[in-house]
Amino acid sequence: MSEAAKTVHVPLINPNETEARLVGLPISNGARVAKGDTLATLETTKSTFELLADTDGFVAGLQAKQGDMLPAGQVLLYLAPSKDWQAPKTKSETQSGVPDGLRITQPALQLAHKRGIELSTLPIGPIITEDYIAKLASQTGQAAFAIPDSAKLPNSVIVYGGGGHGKAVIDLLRAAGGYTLAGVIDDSRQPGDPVLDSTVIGGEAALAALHAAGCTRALNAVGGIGAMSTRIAVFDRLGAAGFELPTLVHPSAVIEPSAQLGPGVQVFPHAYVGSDARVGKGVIVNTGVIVSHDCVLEEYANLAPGSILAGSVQVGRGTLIGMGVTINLNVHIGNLARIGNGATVKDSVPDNGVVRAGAVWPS
Amino acid sequence: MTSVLESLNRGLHAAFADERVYLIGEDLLDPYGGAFKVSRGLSSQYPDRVWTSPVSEAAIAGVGAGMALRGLRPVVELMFGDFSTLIADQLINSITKFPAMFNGAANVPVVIRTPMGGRRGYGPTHSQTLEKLYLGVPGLRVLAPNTLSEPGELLRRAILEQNVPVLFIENKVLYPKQILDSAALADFEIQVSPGEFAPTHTLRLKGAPAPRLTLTAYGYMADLAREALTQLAFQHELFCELVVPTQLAPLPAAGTLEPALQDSLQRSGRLLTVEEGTYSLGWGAEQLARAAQQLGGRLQAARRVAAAEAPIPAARNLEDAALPSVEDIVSAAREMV
Amino acid sequence: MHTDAALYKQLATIRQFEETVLDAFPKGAFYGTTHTYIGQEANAAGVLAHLNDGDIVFSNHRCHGHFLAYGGDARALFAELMGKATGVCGGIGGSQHLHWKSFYSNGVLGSTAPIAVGAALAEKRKGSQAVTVLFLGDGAMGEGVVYESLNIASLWAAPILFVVENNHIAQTTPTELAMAGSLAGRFTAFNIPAVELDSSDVREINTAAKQEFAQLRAAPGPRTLILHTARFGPHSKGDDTRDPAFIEQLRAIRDPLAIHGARLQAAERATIDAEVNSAIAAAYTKAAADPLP
Repeated sequence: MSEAAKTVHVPLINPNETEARLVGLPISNGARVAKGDTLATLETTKSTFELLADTDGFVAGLQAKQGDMLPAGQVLLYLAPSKDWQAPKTKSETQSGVPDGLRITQPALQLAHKRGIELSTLPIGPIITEDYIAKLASQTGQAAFAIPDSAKLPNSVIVYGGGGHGKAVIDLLRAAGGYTLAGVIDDSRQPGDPVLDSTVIGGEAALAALHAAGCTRALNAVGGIGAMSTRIAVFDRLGAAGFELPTLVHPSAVIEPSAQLGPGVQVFPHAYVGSDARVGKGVIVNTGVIVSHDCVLEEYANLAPGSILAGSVQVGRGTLIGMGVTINLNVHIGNLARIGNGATVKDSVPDNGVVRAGAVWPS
Repeated sequence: MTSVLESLNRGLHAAFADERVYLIGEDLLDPYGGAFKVSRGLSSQYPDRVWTSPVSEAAIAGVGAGMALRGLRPVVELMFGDFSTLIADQLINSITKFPAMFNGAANVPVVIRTPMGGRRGYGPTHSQTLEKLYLGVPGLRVLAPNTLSEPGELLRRAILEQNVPVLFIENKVLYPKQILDSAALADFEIQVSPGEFAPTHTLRLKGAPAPRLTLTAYGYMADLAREALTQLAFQHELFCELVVPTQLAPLPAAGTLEPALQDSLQRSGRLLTVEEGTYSLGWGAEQLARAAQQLGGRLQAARRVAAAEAPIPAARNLEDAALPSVEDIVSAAREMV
Repeated sequence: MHTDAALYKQLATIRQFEETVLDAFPKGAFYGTTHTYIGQEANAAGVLAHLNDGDIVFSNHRCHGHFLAYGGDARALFAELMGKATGVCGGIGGSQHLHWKSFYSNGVLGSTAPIAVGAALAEKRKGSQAVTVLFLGDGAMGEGVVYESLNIASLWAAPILFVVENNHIAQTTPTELAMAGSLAGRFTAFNIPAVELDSSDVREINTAAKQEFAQLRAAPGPRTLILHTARFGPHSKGDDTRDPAFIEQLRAIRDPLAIHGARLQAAERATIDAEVNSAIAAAYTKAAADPLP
């Protein structure tokens, strides 16, 4: 709003009558009127009154219809300086988006939004209360959660997982910039629990509501050190819920221009990704990791801090590479393999293969 | 859609079909038709039965009483309810006394109509709600129409069918208001108890959970209470019932509540009274006393919303502050639960 | 009702009734209050002799004389004062609040004025030919509603006769301490003709009233008969602050029974007195035996 709009009230035509009937309405929202134009014709039991514009402007915020009884002093419309000026919201607009005929209380409406309950599924007739929504939500196995306002921002993102890796992802997100953290999704914590300076929004159940509220990006912060399937399951959930996976690179990491990073890749401080390396969807390149030229990392692989991959190493889907592991040139490691901390890998490891910590492979 | 004013005017016109009906008051003659226009058109149509009078409230009340004693059906219009003080002696020591004092041998079926209430900036002596002064005067029926039923029909019946004196209170803010049709009340489930003569309406929102509070209000305050009921339900999930009587007096004998109000209180256990009269010693206090007497320990909460105990200021913001509002009703209700 | 004998009998009935009341009050026969009409009997008897059937009377706190002259029953009036079921109003009204046929009284001074005007206007509208008589005292002249009523009666030509009984004292306050200006002027100011008479002679009063009624019935519109009179008894009972010598003087020169009784033969008068005394005694005895409500 560059200039202020002029507010036009329903006039008190006759001191003995506090309401007037709108009998003529030659204008509508967006219409351009000139000073002196008739905005409305109002009638009391005694007289007819022409309400004239006392300034040029565009009609905005008009909600009354012909035939309405209008109390004197009520805002009839605004005369705005430009066509796209937004009139202030009125009370009656706060329930916008409610299906016709649905009778729902404000607290229930807010809870339904938070729980991602589709208003169109609610019964028409009885007054829908907060309690009703809460019961409905608990029947569908949902825990209580609240959608933060920040989730509605266009660049909002959530972090799935509030553990140690979650904290690292939050810091990475901050360092990388470009996104606003709406909060954390964690199935084993209570809504409102703190994670760094953020809080837990809810569990998996909140995803749909978040997405509906306009938060469509997520970071998988379930590391999968204990069980890679958990991390992969989170990717599946995020995918099913329609979330995009932003790629994050810490400003201190070096990524060669020819390297390719898939969606959801997380590159932590001081890591290096070499020339023509291919990093698949959802791969974690943790702190100080070196991925040399021509490496191919399949989706969901997790490279723990300080691991070093020589050139042209291939790492399979969902495979975990422990801290300080070194892998020789051209070695191929299969899917869902686990390489213990400090191991030295000189040759290929089959799918689901396990290399003990500190071991030299093949032994 | 009919306004309360149009309805009252029609009710008077309908009553005038009976030749016993007369109208006495100040400034009644067309084209003016009374200060609030309720009497418009009558003097043209019935010039010999509409008597515009000197500014003599006590005398016209007494003249009406004398006419009623002798078999006519006079209607006395007082320009402002504030001036009812000028007829207090006629009302209290003659009009309402004769029927009982003369051992049932005399009737005084006079209807005294008057606008009451503020919200018009008329200041301390033209804005009051004084019917409380006359509630409890034995033998006086006090009626206050609202937008839930036809005020004109109530008035017509008060004039033609009552054999007792009637004080007919018309809140002046009600005059331009539309009588609510079924579309306007579509959200409500409404019970009407006909009463002996004047209806009592009980409103609850359709499909609402059990009520936790009963609101009771009359006249224009019933409109505000209805708005408060809707807000309490949809904003705060405090579900109420609203009981709107049109008869303020007499109340049931034996100190009981009106049946409709009693029924509602059995359901809700809490009573909030709403009136535009001053707070103490008034209509609401009487309802609360009866509720306490009848419900005893089952009455969980009791409260009044009423006007400030001071002259009503003329300045709009001061007047608004002095008179009960929707917000006042909502906050009082929320404090009770 | 206009014969000397009939008028005398009316005076004697009122006198005997009121003396019985004053005599029996200290004995505890009555409960509450009374306002005696002793000394003013000629006003009621002289004026109300001209009533037609259906004519209306509005009276005040000092109403026993008016009620009896209107034709009211002495036993019913005693019973009312005793609070008996057979009383004029079943014991509810008491001494000042009577209603029988078209007779009404109320004890709030001046309050009856607009009601009487309304009743007169109602009869006029109904075309009944009935006229209304309103008794006021000098005390009621202090009440504003009286003047509102005079104004309206004149404006709307109510067929009403205002009868002002000026006994020169309101309770204990002499009229000169309570009334400025002219008593008649209070009526003539509203274009209501006022005839004044200072007499305790029932015949003079009857004659003056006859003219007033004739005028009233011929050309409906308010009229006034101001009767300067004397109250021998206290305002109520035992509250007379006047000098007894002054009251004795009043009794000597203004007693309506003495003035009018002198016109009758002694024997006739004695016969009437005896009849009245026995009738009043019988009425009292019956009322005393009547049941409580």
